Amino acid sequence: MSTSLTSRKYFLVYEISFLSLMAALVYVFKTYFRTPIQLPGHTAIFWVIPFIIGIGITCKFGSGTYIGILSGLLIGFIGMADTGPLKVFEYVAMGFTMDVLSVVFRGYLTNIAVGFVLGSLGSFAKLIVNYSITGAIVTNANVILVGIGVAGATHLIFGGAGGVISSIVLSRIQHIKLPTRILDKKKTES
Amino acid sequence: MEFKSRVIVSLVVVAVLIVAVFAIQFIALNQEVSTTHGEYRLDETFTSQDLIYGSQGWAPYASKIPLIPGGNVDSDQFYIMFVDLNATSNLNSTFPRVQVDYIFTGLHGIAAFHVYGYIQGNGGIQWTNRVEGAGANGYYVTNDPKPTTALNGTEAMEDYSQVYFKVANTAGVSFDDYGNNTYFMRFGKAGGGLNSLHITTNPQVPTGQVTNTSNLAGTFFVNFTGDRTQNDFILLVAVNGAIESDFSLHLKSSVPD
Repeated sequence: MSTSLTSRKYFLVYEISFLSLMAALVYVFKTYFRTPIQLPGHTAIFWVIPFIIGIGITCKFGSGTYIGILSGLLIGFIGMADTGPLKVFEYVAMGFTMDVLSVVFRGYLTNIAVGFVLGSLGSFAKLIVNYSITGAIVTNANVILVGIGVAGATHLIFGGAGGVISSIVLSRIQHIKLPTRILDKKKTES
Repeated sequence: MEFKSRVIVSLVVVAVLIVAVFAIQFIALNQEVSTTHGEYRLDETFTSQDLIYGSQGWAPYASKIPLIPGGNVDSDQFYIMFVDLNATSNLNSTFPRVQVDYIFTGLHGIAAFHVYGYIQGNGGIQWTNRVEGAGANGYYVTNDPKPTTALNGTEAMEDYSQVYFKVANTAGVSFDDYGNNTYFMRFGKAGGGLNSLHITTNPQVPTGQVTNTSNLAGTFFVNFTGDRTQNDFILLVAVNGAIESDFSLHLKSSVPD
């Protein structure tokens, strides 16, 4: 297997570092950002941004899932999450959904409609997993379902809004390339 | 499929999901409400001597919150008692909640009901209902208002956010975690812990509403909608006006099936 093929397939240290920073940013947004809006899921407008920017900059399948694993572990273990470590599944679901959608819309992540779809459906996937876990281990289904209309709509709309912001940011920073391996560079130059 | 078509399909999926979640909510809210309940968990009469805290214009929280919507935390004069309902919602019920039946005698002012939630092992109480703003709920009874009279033998609460407090129940607290027959308030950042506990008069509106009534006898429900299961509910009862020897409050709590 050639080095360039390896670097295309696997994450480089630079990319891992960058995605880890994005995961940390998700944790910060989720844990410390408070707004006066009294709607469930409205903070999705913040925490979908690092996901989409991470996926957009690295352009590799699995970026969103990696951010999801790391941010989920951070939030689950030290972010005072109600469901504790199970929180990781919510963020993995969100990252994986965005990864799949980024394949569907490969090369178009700077389009605001695509950003909306990624943010919206990613945020909604997180809600579904959250409700599944909560319904299974904590409370009964009806308690959740009586509020799913508002919660679902806000996750979709605010997640979509965060996705739009991400696309705009991404369109301004997409020219920034992460460092690549020296061998890859040489190979490309030759 | 072209890029444009993929975008349109995805946006349609988002729109369909929005409609679907509201449809699911509508179905969930229109289920039958059970009116039967098990034996009473609390059946006790409280008098003016049980109003041991005050006078004060605030309820304990991360910051001082008013006891009535629009109230003044610095100048309002209420006397307060806490009552352990010895009950939590039955999670097998369609609309999990605890029913509270009350009967006042000798009320000459406003009586405000608020709820606090206890979770075992949490290290303190961190949840209450929202008194003001979007999502506010509470239950207020007003009858024959007269100027507030001073009650003897009351004490000021030592703090508003980190404080041990006694309950008025003869049996004491249900969960004596600290060995001193008290509960402990452990509120942190202002803004948190106000969304999951509710007081409602309609089980089909689990997030509750603000109820103002002049009925000296009535029923309301307390519940939680968050993803943390509350092990017990504690009522805060705040009374102002003329509190005389004929004042009494009979409270019953039960858990609907």
